[in-house]
Amino acid sequence: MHRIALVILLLVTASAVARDIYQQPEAFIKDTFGGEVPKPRMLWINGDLNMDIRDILGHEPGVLRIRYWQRDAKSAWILEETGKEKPITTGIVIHDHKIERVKVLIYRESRGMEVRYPFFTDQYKDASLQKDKQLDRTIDGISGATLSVRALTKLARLALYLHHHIDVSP
Amino acid sequence: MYLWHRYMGLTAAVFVVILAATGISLNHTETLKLDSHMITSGTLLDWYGITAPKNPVGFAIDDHWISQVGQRLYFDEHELQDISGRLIGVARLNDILVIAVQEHMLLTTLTGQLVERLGDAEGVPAGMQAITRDGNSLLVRAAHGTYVTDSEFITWQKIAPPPTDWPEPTAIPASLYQRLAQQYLGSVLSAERVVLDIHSGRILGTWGVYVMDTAAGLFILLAAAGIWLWAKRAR
Repeated sequence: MHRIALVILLLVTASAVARDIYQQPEAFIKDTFGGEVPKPRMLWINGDLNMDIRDILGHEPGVLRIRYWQRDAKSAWILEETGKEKPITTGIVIHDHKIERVKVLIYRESRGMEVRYPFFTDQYKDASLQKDKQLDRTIDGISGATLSVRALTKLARLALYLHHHIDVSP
Repeated sequence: MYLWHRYMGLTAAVFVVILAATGISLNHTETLKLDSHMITSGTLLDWYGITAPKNPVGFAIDDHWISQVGQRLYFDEHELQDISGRLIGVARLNDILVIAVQEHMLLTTLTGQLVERLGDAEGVPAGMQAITRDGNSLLVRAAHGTYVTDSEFITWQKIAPPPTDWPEPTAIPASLYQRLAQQYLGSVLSAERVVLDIHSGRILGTWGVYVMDTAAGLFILLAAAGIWLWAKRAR
């Protein structure tokens, strides 16, 4: 029985720390702005913004402010959303209210990492947000990675929404 | 053969019920929320040999404790965001609490609500060892030197190590640890895990697996015997 306990504890510990890092967030931001990274800005989440984010994610944002990087019509976001149990750290670049790039930076789940491949993330290129805060297209899922696909789609919608918010805010 | 088939059937019946019940449950894990229902039974936790990590550490700040039990961080008794790494420091900058683990910082309000989580993308130095407040700035002792950052955590500057005391984590009050340990124990073992182990026989260790393997063999023999009896009767 103690062998089971050891396996369980190892799995719990391993699941707590195991992660695949495909690109460091700092490197993603540097790549996005060609090495000249603008100073980060803060977007405080309150009132209507909090409600809209809740609509998109299906839960409270979990933080009171989000950091982003912006130059001209381009903004970059490092966002996280839970797939099945662990957060997926994702970098999203928006240009002129359309998705320029989606990249899975850190993946912590034991299944579903197929979402990191370009065959999947390329589906988001040039996607924009409709008035109902849904994407203007259907994203094809991956068998066995439904929750990861759902998480990434939420983040794509969120990044587009936040870009629109900072772009039109006084 | 009839008698053998009957006795095998009776023996197998128990395992069929167990496998069918656990199998149906596992097919509907999400609907039944087996993965999010956590076991708090002391008997089961003892059976699995699960205990709360010992030697919890923390920092007292204002009237609160920021503690770490195993890999979990707590603001008093409220668990903070899942974050890996050793708790190395807590400081207050104006109305923000800075909670530092080795590679990340959590910024919270004075009541523990998460404001922001900072990592290397935001310039947090790698391998943090200690933090302390210096006026309206935060000093960070890290693997590659000492850094100072502004109150918005936008700019990070390497500086010469100042002569300062770097706060160290201390043991947390026993009463707090008891409450946190209860919370911790109630968040480790899911119902899904238990059902899976019953289904595979692993709940009884290696021998439980062999018993289930034997039961599976019995099912095959039962099916073979049943087909043989049917074929014999058909002739």
